[in-house]
Amino acid sequence: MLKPKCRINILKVRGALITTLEAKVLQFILMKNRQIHTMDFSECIDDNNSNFCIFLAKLDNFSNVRSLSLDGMLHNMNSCIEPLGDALSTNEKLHILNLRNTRIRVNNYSAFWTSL
Amino acid sequence: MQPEIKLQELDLSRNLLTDAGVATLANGLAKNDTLEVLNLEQNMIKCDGCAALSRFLNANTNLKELIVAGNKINNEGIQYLAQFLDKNSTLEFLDISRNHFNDNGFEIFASQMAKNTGITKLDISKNKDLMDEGSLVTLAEAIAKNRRL
Repeated sequence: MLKPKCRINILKVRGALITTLEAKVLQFILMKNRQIHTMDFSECIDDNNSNFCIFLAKLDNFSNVRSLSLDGMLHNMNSCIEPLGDALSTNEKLHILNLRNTRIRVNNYSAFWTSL
Repeated sequence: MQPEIKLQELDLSRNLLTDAGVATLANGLAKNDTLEVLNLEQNMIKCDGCAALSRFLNANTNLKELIVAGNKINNEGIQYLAQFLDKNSTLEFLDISRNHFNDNGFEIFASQMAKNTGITKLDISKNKDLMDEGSLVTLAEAIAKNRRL
């Protein structure tokens, strides 16, 4: 998926365990791949609540993703809101963001909401 | 120069958003001119959250779908929501099902529907306190007047 010839444009990794290794691999895919426009990580679990931040921090304007689904994540997503907000504040490409059923609270990082 | 965010759909359903959270969100979205779908289903929105959403919708001209089903919107809340109906003409779908308002609150909302020119889909199902025919008659009369629904 890091190669220019990769034709995959929808990547679904639902229900996976995201360790530091998976998060870094996903981060590289996000940075290098120009084809994938839809990513679905619904019902994934992060084994230390911060691995997913590694990936979300790269969801900036250099990524090509149009639709990101994080439905029903099985860990505390509140710790990821800050890096996601920072990345989104420079992102002009993301059209659809699904944060359904992630137990997030607005007050944890208000700058995320104002960056929308 | 601050980049322009192109977010068109935001799904925050089934979270823990309170009135304060929705107010922060509404303030943040005030500058957004691309969002078309906002899903706030099954949060903890009450009266003040509705007031914030109503203020947001008074000025917004892009949002087409607002889903606030399964929240804690009472009579006061639904009356706040009614305030945007005569000012906003772009919202097409409003889902206020599974909330806590009764006929007294809904009657005002229903009468305001006559002045709305945008909504084509309205979901008021499973509001268990909505029993009286009077408010539904008011809604029917409003629908007859605006001819959009």
